[in-house]
Amino acid sequence: MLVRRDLAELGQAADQVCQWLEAEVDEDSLSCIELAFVEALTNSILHGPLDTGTSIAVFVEILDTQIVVEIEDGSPPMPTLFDNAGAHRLEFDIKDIENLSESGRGLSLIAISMDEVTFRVIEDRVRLRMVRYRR
Amino acid sequence: MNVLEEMNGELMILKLRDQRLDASTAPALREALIERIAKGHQSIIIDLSDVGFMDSSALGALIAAVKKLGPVGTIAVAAMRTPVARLFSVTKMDRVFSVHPTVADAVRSLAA
Repeated sequence: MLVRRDLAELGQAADQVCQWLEAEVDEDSLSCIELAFVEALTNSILHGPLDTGTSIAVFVEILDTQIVVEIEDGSPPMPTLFDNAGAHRLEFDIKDIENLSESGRGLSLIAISMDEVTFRVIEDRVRLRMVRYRR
Repeated sequence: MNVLEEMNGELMILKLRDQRLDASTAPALREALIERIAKGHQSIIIDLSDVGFMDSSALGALIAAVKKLGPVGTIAVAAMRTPVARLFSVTKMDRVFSVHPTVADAVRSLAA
């Protein structure tokens, strides 16, 4: 699936991914995959290369043991992007709401929602690879 | 942003009619909430029963609203569907917002 670099495309792209997967995984897994996908696609649209003429490619693979969602947006490899992501990054001081961050949770939500998050290179093109094991 | 507004005494109840709240709708959500807080509404219940999906951008809009409101007021969220409740749980926002199973429960709690 190709997605235009436009936030208005998020809903339709997510609906398509969910439609492909709804018969394959339980509701909990589907909502985790949808959240990770939307967070990753939002990052690609907002922070990917500025060449807006290039669409973002989305690949979904349904295997016996896992679901694989990949996003290719023309970005260079970022092998350390998720190094510090995870539940610990969502901690905050409940007594200090004034300084509670309004953003910056996306990568951690991707890391928490999926079982594996890596980058892989195919013919010089980089893909964010997100894997959710089938339970 | 499709919002249905209702007053119950001093309580403002906002029913968010969008099925999806993501980065494409978060700015409008933020504006809708901030605008009402700026008008002096201090007790707001957000009915999320129609919302089947919410991401971190929309959550950021709610956080902006609770920060704008400060300690003088309350924002309650009610009738969250499972994916939205999970987002609140993993991000620990269920500690920031007053969370209720139904709008009626939220009204009872805030009116008390």
